[in-house]
Amino acid sequence: MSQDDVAAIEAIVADVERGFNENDAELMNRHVAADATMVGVMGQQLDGREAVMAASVAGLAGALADERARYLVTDVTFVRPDVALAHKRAWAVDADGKDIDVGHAMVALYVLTKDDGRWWIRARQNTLVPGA
Amino acid sequence: MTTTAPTATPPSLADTADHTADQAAIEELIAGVAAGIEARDPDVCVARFAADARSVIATGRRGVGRDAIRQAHVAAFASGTIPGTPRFALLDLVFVRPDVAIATTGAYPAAPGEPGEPIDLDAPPTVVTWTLVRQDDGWWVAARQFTRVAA
Repeated sequence: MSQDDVAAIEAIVADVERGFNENDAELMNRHVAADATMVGVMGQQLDGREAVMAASVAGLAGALADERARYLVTDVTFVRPDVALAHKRAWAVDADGKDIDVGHAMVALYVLTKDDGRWWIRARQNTLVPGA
Repeated sequence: MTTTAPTATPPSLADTADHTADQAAIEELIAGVAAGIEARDPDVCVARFAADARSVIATGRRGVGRDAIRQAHVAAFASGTIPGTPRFALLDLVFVRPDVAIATTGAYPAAPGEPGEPIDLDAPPTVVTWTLVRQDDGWWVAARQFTRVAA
């Protein structure tokens, strides 16, 4: 583990953010392993990248199409040299990237592993933070 | 700018070895947490949490470190906002390394002394993801996160 690993993980989260903001499901899920497990902010559990992609495509074409967000990786912890936990805070923003009050923020946990020289998202869970 | 080119076929990375004993140990650990909640004993609740564990409860409040997580249990018990008898049912278990597991459970509340509603694995009221690491002395919780399922 190194600062390069932290930077690589931050770059992955930046790709997720950009994919979300540009309605690009492929970019949003580029780093999701085939057998990843995800829990969305509404509590829906998705098993496998295929299911995650389908939900992303539907969401970005529908209810999430006009939503924008700002992400911040707050910390990265390595439980093994090649297994990392990362927490992310997320806030709603407008089209200019300015924070807007929607009554809540979000905190997400990522579990990532490094395989074949790159990091993969193995699990992610989103939880709303009311009033934040 | 992205740092990694698109990957046509993301790999399946799970360790598919026989983890029967590990699964039993993990389920016992999670049952121990439930027993701690039922007994309103914060020390039992965090007995198998690592010193630098992370926790996010259903309100989105984050705790970093076992002491902070223990204190969050003390506060939650004092507030009376958690069920008397939580029941955790395993929904999914993946070993991303031989000694690192991701367990997804449903959390099903019940009033003290009551059996509660039947557990429906397809409709948990709350989903909890546990990241666990096996050391020489057994499995430890490295992270736990709750998310309420929207009605």
